[in-house]
Amino acid sequence: MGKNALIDLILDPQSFFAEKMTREESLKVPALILLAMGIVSGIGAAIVSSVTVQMLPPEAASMGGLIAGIGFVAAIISVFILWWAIPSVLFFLLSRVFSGTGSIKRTFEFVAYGMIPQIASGIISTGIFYVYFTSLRLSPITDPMLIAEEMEAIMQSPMLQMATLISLLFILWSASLWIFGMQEAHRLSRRNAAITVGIPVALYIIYTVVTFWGM
Amino acid sequence: MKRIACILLLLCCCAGIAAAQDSAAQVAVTTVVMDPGVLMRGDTATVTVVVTNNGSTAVAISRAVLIDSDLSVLNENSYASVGNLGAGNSMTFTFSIRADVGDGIYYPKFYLDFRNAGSLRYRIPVKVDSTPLQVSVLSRPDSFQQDAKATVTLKVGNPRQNELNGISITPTGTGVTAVQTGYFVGNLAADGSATVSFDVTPTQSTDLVFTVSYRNGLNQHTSEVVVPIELMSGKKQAEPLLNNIEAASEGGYYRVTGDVTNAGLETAYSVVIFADSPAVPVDPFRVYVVGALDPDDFSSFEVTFQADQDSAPIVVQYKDVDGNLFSSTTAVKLGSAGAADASGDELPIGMIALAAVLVLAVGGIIAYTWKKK
Repeated sequence: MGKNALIDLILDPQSFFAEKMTREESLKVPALILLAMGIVSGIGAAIVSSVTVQMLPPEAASMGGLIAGIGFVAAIISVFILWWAIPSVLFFLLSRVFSGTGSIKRTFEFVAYGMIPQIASGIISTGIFYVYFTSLRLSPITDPMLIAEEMEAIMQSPMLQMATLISLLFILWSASLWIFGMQEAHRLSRRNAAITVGIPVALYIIYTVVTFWGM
Repeated sequence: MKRIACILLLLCCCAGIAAAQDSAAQVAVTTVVMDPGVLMRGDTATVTVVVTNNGSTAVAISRAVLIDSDLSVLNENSYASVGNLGAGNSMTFTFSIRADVGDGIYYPKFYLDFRNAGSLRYRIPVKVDSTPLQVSVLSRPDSFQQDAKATVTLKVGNPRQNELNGISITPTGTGVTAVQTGYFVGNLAADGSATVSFDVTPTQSTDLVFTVSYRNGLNQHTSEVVVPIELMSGKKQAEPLLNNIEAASEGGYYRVTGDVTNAGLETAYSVVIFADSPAVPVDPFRVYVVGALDPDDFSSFEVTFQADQDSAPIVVQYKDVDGNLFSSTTAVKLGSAGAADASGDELPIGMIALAAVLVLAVGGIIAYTWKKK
């Protein structure tokens, strides 16, 4: 994926996906995109894990490196599952409601291209996590039942709330790309493509807002 | 004949005068009383003079005065006209004098003018001595401690030649209270003394002033003695210290644990530990009671409280053997992100600016791609 292709994806996604339709279906570049996104997310998860592990009892806190590593790997795997497989399957199924004709592989491919803004989002979020969590000092909590409560209190920080809002903004950007992608992949009208993408994305945004701000 | 009559009349007058002078010679000052006996500068005293007619005939007294160039006589003209003093009778004359002079002995003159028979002059010695009542500190503690009761003992002595009356002692001072608001000694004879003790409790370094008021006759006087109070820790006083302190945040409150050690030479009694304002003690350990702590002994403690700040004052309160209450405060750094800490952060300006730029950039790109045909 060249520089011009990236510019096309950002500024003229319809032409980008139309051009991709003329080519063989391939998941090599999409997989690398998801891997890059996974690494960025993994770094962010490792930062959060390495700091929040301070709340654990001293004997558990000594395994801070291992816990950060587990957080890193878990983040990569979750990116592939939550951010690639699930939306691709959902878009594929919903496109079928509107008589979409594209294959599941093409859907995976275009969903991955639509994930490129999430790499930028991940870098920004990781930066915010680093600034916030490295300035945070936590003391061990003797009652493990209270750790979740403490984490919930931490997540109410304005900085972390702002990071969530920024991630939702980039989700909207990805949704915009996915609409163009699904329109081309499944030969849908712009409206049907918007519904295909809009329903899962809207549900995700609603879920995020409700769980994060309790609305 | 006429000449003879004049001579007889003159002889009769001379005989009358000689008889009057004989009678006046029988009048004498029998008693002089001064109150007070010895004056201080500025004092007022009464001088009472008693004269007695020891003769067999009455004596006519024209006036009685007390005269002195140094002392002031306040009722000079009280006896400007007196009258007859019968045979064997006495008459009392009282004068008020004021001693606006330096120390010494003065001799005002008492004049008793007889009608047609000369006068009686009598010098009265008046002593003026300004030596005041002496007050000295008999005993006081080596060091005063804040909020600890201490005893100060005073010795009140009368170095004067006369008795002093109405002696009372009052302690005053900013930041110091006394159990005894005052002490009435009463009178002190010449060279007499009295011992008085006061239990005082200072709250700050100050001057403790003992004001001694007394009367010399009718004249009020005061003396003062100042006892400087410099607060300091007692040499052997108990000294509980906190160490090995650990602070932990536990779901809405903090738990501070540590050791309290008595680094003093006396036992600390009734040692209690708690978090002070602005921290708010909460269950289960609002107050931790350690009890008695011997010198070089230590005990662990645990307190729980809520706090919004990064540190909280932990108070160690204890008593000495006399029940005096002492306390010391140690600021404990909490250093943990409790619920209040995490949600209380303010959003940095740079963060807001970044969000605004991203909204404009991403929004602009999305709008651009959707308008592009």
